[in-house]
Parts: sequence; structure tokens; C-alpha cells
Amino acid sequence: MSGVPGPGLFPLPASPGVLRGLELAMAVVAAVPASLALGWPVLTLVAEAVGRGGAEISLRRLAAWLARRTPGAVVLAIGLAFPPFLLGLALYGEAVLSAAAQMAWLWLAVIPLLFLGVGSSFWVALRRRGAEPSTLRPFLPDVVESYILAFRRRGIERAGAAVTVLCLVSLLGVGFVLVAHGVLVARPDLWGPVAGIPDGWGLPLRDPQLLPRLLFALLGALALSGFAVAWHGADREAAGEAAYGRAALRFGVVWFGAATALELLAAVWLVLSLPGPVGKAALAGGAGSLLWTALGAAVAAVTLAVVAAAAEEPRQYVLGAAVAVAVSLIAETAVRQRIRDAALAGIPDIALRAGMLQPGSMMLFIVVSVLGAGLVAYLLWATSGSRRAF
Amino acid sequence: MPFQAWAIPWLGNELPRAVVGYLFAVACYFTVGASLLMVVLEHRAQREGNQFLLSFLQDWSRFILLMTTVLGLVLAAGAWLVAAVTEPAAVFVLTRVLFWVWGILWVLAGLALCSGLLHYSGWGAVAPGHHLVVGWVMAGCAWGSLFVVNGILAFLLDPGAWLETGRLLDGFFNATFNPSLLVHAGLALGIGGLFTLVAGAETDPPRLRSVLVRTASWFALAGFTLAPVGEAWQVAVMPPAAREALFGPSGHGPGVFAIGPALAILIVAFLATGPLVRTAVTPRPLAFLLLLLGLAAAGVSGWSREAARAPWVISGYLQVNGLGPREANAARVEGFLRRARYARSRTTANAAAGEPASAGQELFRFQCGCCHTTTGVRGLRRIVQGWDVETIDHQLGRLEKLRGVMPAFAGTDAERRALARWLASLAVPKGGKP
Repeated sequence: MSGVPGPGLFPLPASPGVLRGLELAMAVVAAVPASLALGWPVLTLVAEAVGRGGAEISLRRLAAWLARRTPGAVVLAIGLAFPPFLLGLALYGEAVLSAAAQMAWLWLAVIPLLFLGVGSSFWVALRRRGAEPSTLRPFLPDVVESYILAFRRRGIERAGAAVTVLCLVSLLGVGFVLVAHGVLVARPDLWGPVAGIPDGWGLPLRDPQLLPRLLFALLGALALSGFAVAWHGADREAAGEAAYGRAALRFGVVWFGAATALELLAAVWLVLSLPGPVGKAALAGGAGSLLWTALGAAVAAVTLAVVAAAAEEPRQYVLGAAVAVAVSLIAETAVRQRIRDAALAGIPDIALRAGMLQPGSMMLFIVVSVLGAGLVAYLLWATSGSRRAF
Repeated sequence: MPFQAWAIPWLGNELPRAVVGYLFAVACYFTVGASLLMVVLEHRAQREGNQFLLSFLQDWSRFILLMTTVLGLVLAAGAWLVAAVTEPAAVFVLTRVLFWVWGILWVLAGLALCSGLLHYSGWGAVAPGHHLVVGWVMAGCAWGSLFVVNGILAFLLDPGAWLETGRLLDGFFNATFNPSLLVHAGLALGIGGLFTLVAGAETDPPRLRSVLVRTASWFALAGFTLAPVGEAWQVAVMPPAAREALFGPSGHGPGVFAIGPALAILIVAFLATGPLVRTAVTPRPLAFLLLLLGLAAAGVSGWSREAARAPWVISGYLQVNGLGPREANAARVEGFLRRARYARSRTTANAAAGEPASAGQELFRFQCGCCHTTTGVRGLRRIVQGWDVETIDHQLGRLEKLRGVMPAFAGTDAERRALARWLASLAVPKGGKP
């Protein structure tokens, strides 16, 4: 067994720079569906409540549209969470795993919460009044099946709203655990050798970063969700559904603008809550300009979205806002990466061991990824193209 | 050993991992087998213009989607979450060693998931030809994922030349790869077929039922014929140490292993004499019974694979206690506690001031806690009941010989003695509390 380094010494699978770059890219990609999964149930409930009040019939339709798409967002959020998780493990395994052990019970609670979140989102999405004979019947009691098969286009109904609340609470629980874990990872004094034997309940409740981070994550999720609704509204309006499209656009812009404004305040609070050395190291030099880029792009995105809500032809403004949102998201994720790196910089053994290039499997991964991206593009083209023609 | 150790009270760490792993495996087998069966049936329905069958498949694809996402995807996340807190060293090493392989698996599984969502939402909305292509992509990617997972499992059982060359492909395509692939492919076909059989039995009209029962039965029959052949082949080519762990006197014995093939033969016999010859009168309870037998067979197969690997996570490289052979040898010379970064006690002199935890308890936490509890599942209090320190120390010194599925104790003589003393203190004296 001379060729392979021992388990405790096994090097990184590629250079730290490559892995950090991949982590940044995948964290940005994963943030989008994760935000939608968390934000859309809130928007569904509000749209349903406002629409039910009679003010806006279009909003009930929007609620149904959101409910139908939430399961896809939840599924994508879970699927796309794997790469950042794996990259975090490869780069900072000791911190990630030891912090998870400190809060192990809550960490494990993510599993039932995900079951509830995914299951209830599908439940609401697939509801359709009037059960019909189905292949689910052998596996489910009739009463359950009739709800799963029931879906109404005009709204989500009371049962749907109740289950959406369940979905929202479950996903909020998952979000809380993940944010708390992120805070804990950045506190080696709470998970390191001096932290003591873990009892599984080691939450960083007294950490000044916890609340601003939670707020920042939640408001960011609402902002992105609102923006996605605004995009949908602009798209529908361009397709000729003027009343519905305009209602959705305005609804989305209100949420996007308000949540982003509050998120900026939470960002300031978060920066102020960072421990002195971490804050200095994380925000010095290039990182400082990244932070300003994120803030500036967010302000530009909101401005463009507000202009879109008032414009005759909103699509071009929404497209511009989307570019600004993407810039803001990338810069914000890079800042968060630097904050974590700064927090872990003082741990001698967390220093990244030089990468051992695994050229064969890495090349295979690149080939499969390129082919996969091509296949996804083909599938989207084939299904959307024939949807129009069929 | 740069990781914290935490154990689930009473249940221990192994049982929850096994339960989550088993349920995840079932979801995967179902997705892989049922998606292929569905697309085969869709191809036939389109060719024959069979609207009843298309209507059934539209409903059935909802169930496949729910099983894949609600059960499969969440349990995939769950398997990682459970392993991260119960087996951190293994998770860390497996992440780094197999990093790009996990990446390939993620791409393939993601493609299967995306095409599954598109396939489900495309019924009646996408042109039939394109819809079928999406279905084939879904099934193809699901089978590709199975191929990669099989390679990972084969690598864990027998990393082969990788230990010398460091080239992952040397370990990936080892002698157990093909038989293991046969086992997993067989179980996927079998489980997918049996689930579809349950859904198809008692479906109306009878002509539709006949098509469903016959096709599903053939899938299941092929699957449960291939799986035991693969099991036998795998046993024949697996490393001798793995065979010893499975069948040797200190292992689990051939009895449990034989349950899997026996169940498979039973299922094949039932299918050949029942649903395949009387497609129109297959009662759903019988289909359910066959499904339960199939799920049991899958469980035994997974259990045998894990048992053959014991006490290794990666055979010859990483043990269940998070140590490799070199680390274990170093711990025997230098002392385990000195090398364990997260141990609260650094020496065996427990009476020394400032030692927050007993050395024996810490050794238990890091070396035994991965599989044992004190009072619950595999509880050591029950095992050491009636043993004195000398007996326990004697056992600890020969664990790998007395219990072949356990790793050798990794520590100095003084540490072994400290662990023995602590374990002896667990025993309940007659008529009293420990």
C-alpha cells in the first residue's frame, strides 16, 4: 500500500483554486432554486389570501402557478445542494463535519423536514378535485389519493393553503439548520478540540451573526422569489395575457423591492456582527470592492424592476434586472466565501493540502458534464419546441 | 484522526445508517427498473396506439416521479446527512478519494431527475416522439447512475490496484465490478417489475391488465434470475478476506447470505407459475406478497455486501473506526489518544488533574462508538456482563481474530487496559446498579 497516502493525509482531488472556483459557481447556481423553494410558499400564501379577498382574481391564478412550480424548485434545490456540500466537505471537511456533530440532532432533523417539505409541496401541486382511478391507489388510502390527485387551476383552496404552511414551516426549518451550521463552521471555538464532547444540541444561539444571517437568507429568498414572479409576469404580458401578466409583474416587483431593501439592512447588520479580525480580513482589499459590487448591483436591479413595473414593454427592463441580480448574487457569494475563509484561517490543521490531480476521473467528469449540459439543452428545446407545435 | 465523534444514544450509529441506506437503495432500484419498464411500455403503446396503456402510464409516471423525488432524492440527501455525523472520517475520505466520481454520479442522477420532471409534465403536451425520447433519456441516465454507484460499491469492496497505483479506474473496474453490476441490475429490474405488477394487477380493462402483468412479470423474472447469479459470481471473485468475513467462523455465516438467493428463487417460481401463465387473474395481494419478498431479497443482498466488507469502509485502506492500517500501527506505538485531535483525555492516567474525561470512555467513543452503544443496540454492557478486566483486555487484544468483522484495537497496551477497565465498569453487579 505504498502508492496512496493514508486516509488522514489524502490530498485534495484538484488544486484548491479550482475547487474554490467550482464551489463559488455551484453555490451561486444552487442559491437560485433554494431561494425559490423558500420564498415561493410565502408568495403563494399571500397571493392566495389577497386573491381570495376579491381584490385580484389574477393573484389566485398566480398562487396556483406558484404552487405547481414549487415542487420543481424544491427538487432542484436539493439536487443542486449536493455539489456545494461535497466541495465544502472536500475543502473544509474537518470544520463541516465537526460542526455537524456538535448540532447532530438538528442536522438529522433535516431529513424528516425535507420529507415534509418535498411531500407537501407535491401534495399541493398535484391536487385536483375529483379523484379518478389511478395507479397510486394500490399504494395509498383513497382519502390520501384523492387529495394528491386533486388540483384546481383557480387557486389552492383551504387545504392547499394549510399544506403550503406545512411546506413553508418545514423548509424554514431546513433553512434554519443550514444557516446555523454555517455560523457554527465559522466558530472553531464551538466545534474544535476545546469545544468538548458533542451532545448534538450545540447551536450557536448566542452568536451575534446568527440572527442577521437568518434574516439575510430569508430576505434574499423572498427577493429572488419576487423577482422570478416579476419575470413570469413580464413573460405572460408579452404573450398577450395583459391583466394577469401585469398583476404578477407588480406583485413580484413589490416583493423583490421590499425584500431587497430590507436585505441590504440585514447585510449591514451582518457585516457589523462579524468578529473584528474576521471582518477586517474578509472585507479588506478586493473583498471590499466585491461587497460594494453586490450592493450596487442589488440597487440597480431593484431600480430596473421598478421601471419595468411602470413600463409599457417591461421585458427588456426585467432582463436588465436579471443581469444585475446575477452580478449581485455572484459577488455576495464570493464575499461569504471570503468571510468563511477568514474565520477558518487561524486553524493550523484546516490548511488545505496540495491537490493530487486525478486526471482520468476529472476528464471523465468534464466530458460527462459537457454531454449532460448538451442533453439538457436538447431536452428543453425538444419539449418546449414540440409543446408549441403539438 | 481529525474529527469529532458523536453517537446516537441507544440506537447507535450503524442501525440508522443501515435503515436510511436500505430505503435509499429500494428507491434507486425502483427508479432504475420502473423507468425502463415504463418507457418500454410507452414505446409499445405508441406503436399500437393503445390509449388505455398510455393513460395508465401517465398515471404511473406520477408515482415514479413521487418515488424518485420524495423518497429517492430526500433519502440521497439523508444518507449523506446521517453518514456525516455518524461516520465523519469515512465521509471525508470518500469525498476526497471519489470526488470526481460523485460529480459524474450527480450529473447522471440530475439528468434522470430533470428528464423525469419533463417526462411527467409532457404527457399530452409534448409530441409523442419527443416524449418517448425524454423517457429514454430518463431511463438511460438512471441506468448510468446505477453503473456508477455499482463502481463505487465495487471499489469499496475491492480497491484492487488502486492501493498501489493511486489510479482510481484501477480500483473502479475490479474483479467484482461485473458480478456486482449483475446483482444491482437484477434487483433494479426485479423491484421495478414487482412495483409495476402491483399497480397493474386488477387494472381494467382485462386486456390492459394482461399487458401490464405479463411485461412486469418478465422484468421481475429476469431480474430475480440475474441477481442470485451475480451474487454467486461475486462471492467467487471477491477477495479472500471478504469471503472470510461473510462465511468464516467469525463472520455471519452462509445461512443469512443464502436467504437472498432463496427468496429470488421463490419469486421466480411464483411468477413462472402464476402471473406469467394467468395474466388476467393475478390478485393484488399476491403481487404485494411478491413485492415484499423482493424487498426482503434486496435487503439481504445489501446486508451481505456490507458484511463482506467488514471491518473496512474501503477494504485494506480505511476501517470503520476511521483509521487506516498505517494510522492504526502508529497509534499502537505512539498512543491513540495522543494522536486523536478531539480526544478530551490525552493520557491513560485518568487520575491526573485536568483530565476531563476518562481515557477508557474516550477510547470507546472513538473506536467502539461507530458500531456499539453502551446499553442499546449492540450494547457493550450486556456483552461484557460477567467478564472481569482481564477477560475484556484479553478480548480487546485479539478482536480481529476473535471477531473477524471487527478492526484490531488501535492503541498502546496501557490504552487497551484503560478501555478494558472502563468497559468492566459498565457491567451491572448482581442485584445492583453499575
